[in-house]
Amino acid sequence: MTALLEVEGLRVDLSLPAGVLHAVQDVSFHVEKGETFSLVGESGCGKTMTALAVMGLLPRSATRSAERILFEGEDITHAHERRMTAIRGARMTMIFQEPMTSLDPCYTIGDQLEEVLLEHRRVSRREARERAVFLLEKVGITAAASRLKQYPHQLSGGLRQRVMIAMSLMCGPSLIIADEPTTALDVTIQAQILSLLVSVQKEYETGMILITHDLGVVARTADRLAVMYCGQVVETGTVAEVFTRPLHPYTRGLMRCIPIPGKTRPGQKLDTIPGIVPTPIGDLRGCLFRNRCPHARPACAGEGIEEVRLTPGRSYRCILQPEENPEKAAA
Amino acid sequence: MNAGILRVENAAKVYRVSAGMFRGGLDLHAVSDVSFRVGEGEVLGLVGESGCGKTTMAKLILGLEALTRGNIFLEGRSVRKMGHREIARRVQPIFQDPYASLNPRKSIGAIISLPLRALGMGNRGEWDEKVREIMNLVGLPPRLRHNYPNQLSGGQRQRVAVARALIMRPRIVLCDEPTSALDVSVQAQILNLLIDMREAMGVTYILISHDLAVVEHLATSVAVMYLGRIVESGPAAEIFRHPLHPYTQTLLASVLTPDPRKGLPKVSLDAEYPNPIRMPPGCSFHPRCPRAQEICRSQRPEAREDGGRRVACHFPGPA
Amino acid sequence: MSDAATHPGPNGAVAPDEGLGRQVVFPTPGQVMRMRMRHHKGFIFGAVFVLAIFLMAVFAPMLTSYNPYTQHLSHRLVPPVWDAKGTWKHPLGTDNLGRDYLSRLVYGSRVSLLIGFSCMLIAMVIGTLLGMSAGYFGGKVDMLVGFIITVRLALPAVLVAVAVVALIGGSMQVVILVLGCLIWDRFAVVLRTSTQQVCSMDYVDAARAAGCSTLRIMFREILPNLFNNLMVIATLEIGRAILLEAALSFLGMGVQPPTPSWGLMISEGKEYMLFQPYLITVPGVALFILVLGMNLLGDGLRDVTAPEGQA
Repeated sequence: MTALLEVEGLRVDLSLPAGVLHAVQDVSFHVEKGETFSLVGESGCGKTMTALAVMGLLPRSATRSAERILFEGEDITHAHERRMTAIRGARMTMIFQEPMTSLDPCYTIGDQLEEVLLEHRRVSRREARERAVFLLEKVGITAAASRLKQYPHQLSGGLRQRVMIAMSLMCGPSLIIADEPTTALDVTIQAQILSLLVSVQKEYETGMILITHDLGVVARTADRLAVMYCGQVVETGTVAEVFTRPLHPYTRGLMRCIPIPGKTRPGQKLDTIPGIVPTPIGDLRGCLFRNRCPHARPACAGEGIEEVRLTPGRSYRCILQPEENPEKAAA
Repeated sequence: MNAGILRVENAAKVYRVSAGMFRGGLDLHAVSDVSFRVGEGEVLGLVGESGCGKTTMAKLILGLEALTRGNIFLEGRSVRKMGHREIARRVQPIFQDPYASLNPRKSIGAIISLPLRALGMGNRGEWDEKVREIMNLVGLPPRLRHNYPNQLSGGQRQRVAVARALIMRPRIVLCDEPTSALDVSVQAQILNLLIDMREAMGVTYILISHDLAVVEHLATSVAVMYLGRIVESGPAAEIFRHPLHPYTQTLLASVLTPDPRKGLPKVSLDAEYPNPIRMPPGCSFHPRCPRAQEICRSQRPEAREDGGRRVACHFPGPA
Repeated sequence: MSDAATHPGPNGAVAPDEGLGRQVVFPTPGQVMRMRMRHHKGFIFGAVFVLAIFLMAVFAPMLTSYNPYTQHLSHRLVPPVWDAKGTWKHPLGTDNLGRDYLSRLVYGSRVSLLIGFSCMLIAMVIGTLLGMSAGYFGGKVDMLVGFIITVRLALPAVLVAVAVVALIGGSMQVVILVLGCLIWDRFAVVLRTSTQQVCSMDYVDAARAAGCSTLRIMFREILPNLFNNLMVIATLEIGRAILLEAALSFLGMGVQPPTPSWGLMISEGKEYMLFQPYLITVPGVALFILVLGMNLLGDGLRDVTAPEGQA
């Protein structure tokens, strides 16, 4: 059974005054139908660039190359812009982070929802409106019919994000990419929106790529994940595998440095990852984490650190053997 | 006498907002009837979501906004009688956005020494000395004082903000979401720095945050705000272990710890976060409260004190 | 110390030593600006034009030996050198009073530039004070400044200038003062918005919380962040001032004869337009080049100082 989305060897380069920024380097992953796959990492790790590259929405100053990008069995590695426009919004949709700016303030909610469907399918306006009402109710917005006439500024952040979710479902896509969908929302709304996303996904069997920096969100929502650092994928696996036994020192460092109510002792200093993230500009050789890694050794500076695959879904990019890691993982 | 280093009494702040071209103004009650006390060396966590009034409260304490009603006492003196320089000597802020809290046109040294220069403390020779001293304390190489903010990383900038806040040794530091805009690994560094500085200088923190994990980690006492009022307050450990107000319980249940065995919490708060301009009658939380009864819709609950804890609810108790 | 060490690189840029055994040099904003300047065609053209006129003004005595006021009544209306009857003695010919045209052009550039800069400076002071006050204080101050701006915009600048000059007589000083007090509107409007944007930044709150007085905040914290906008508006307003002065002088309401002013030269030449068109085209082209150069410079500055990622 082929995966819904298969990405192999994705590279994205940006030209900056200081040189060429290798925002995404040799990233490979796949997403199955109906599963939630999470791209996890801190700012600048390349996770948003990866999503934009898959959608074909990179800025003009960026160059993308990949060995293969297969979507629904179709090779879109070198797809023409016209083909991508047909796919975007219909088969593959994206939910952005900032609900305050993702909707056009000049048009009503109804207009924007209906436009998505009208762009991609030959349906009447009435049918488009019916679908819009149906989906607004599905995402939990009451009095949906009257909401259609409202403008974005009349809705709160949580409501707008629900509208974005409805919009992404208008054409019944097979893949939803959600880029930090709850980061800008209040904590009590966050759980609701995430539950909504998961239930919608299960009902329509869509695949979802969930991009986030929040390990809590990943743990509670995703099925599989890939940890990204400095443009590379450093660890992959199911959520249970990675959280119980993280293999890459960066993943372990991340998990140890978050305060967890009930686990970390209040007032005690947290474990930290010393140093700062290097900028992936210019010549990149060896492990990019070695300047911050407690286990670094001279071999880490050598040529390309390969991905070690323990099982088809479980891999990590480090020269250390799993047994050599003396620390216990953060459970 | 423990009047506390900071005492807020029935503070209120009302903004006048226009309701449209010809409809005159409406009142936005950003903060209503807020009272609390912070002892020396404590860390008070002010918790709440957007629109709860915590940022307004911060501005009132810093003297950036004027009180509509009530009073705030810094070291026993009312802020209504203090000029902004006297307030500055006692309270200093650390803001959320490390990219917006440093003037891009000023060198790091100039930014850090600003409180000294503005308050006329010491002379030019001493300023450089103090800047280098505080930079060492917060973990920044002193040679960076000739650089500009755009040449520093987010974590370094936040350290600069900490240095600026601490350089004249204020009694209180008000941290407004100090780590929310930072990466996870940098967040830990800054939190550790705040812990270190507290030990080194005995400074009192007011920590404003929506991140309950951070508050639980640092705070000694907590006050939970909702729509401009404090709904629950008390020692941090107590509040986190045994929350009594339904809103606090919802907040705590919404925190997503990185535990893959647990799914998403079934938090269903009916209705949207209300508009602070049109506040519901009675208890401001009743439209979303799972325990709401008739009395909640008509009568606002008074804060009841019980052994160091205060709750404003008609039916407080475990979930 | 848990942060990577940083140190200034050889050309002032900071190269974070990340411990990966290599250096990444980030150019400073100044370097980025200079790099952009070198590639921006509009900016280069504008700078060349303006510089040419500026040098012409500075080195006027070396470019011509004639006095712009001296009349050679026996050599009136001599055409420029490219005409059949022209000579190199008067490369741009002479006007109706026999004054050497090249000399009048070159000394006239001084008048244009002087008036342009002076008007711009007066307008900048007025406009900046008004705009910053409106942006910083808001509320009633903003309403008042808004009213003043509206009144000013309702008055046509040329008409007001003409009226004032008609009342008190024309001269360079009068022109500078009148125009300076009329063209500050763009400064005020733009700086008001920029000030509002800067005031929304936390560092202004931090300065206030640190004990800075209002004046100190306005001039030491906010104003330095307005320089970019200020520069762009200033260059555009110089062009506007120069054109306004030319218009006034053309109407006889500006600089008075015999002072060489390009606008005045056009005015004096209009009677001879049909047979001696050079009397108009020479100062006209010079005006065009100067104002075009100023505008290109201003636009170029706006592009070159825009933050990364904005067109």
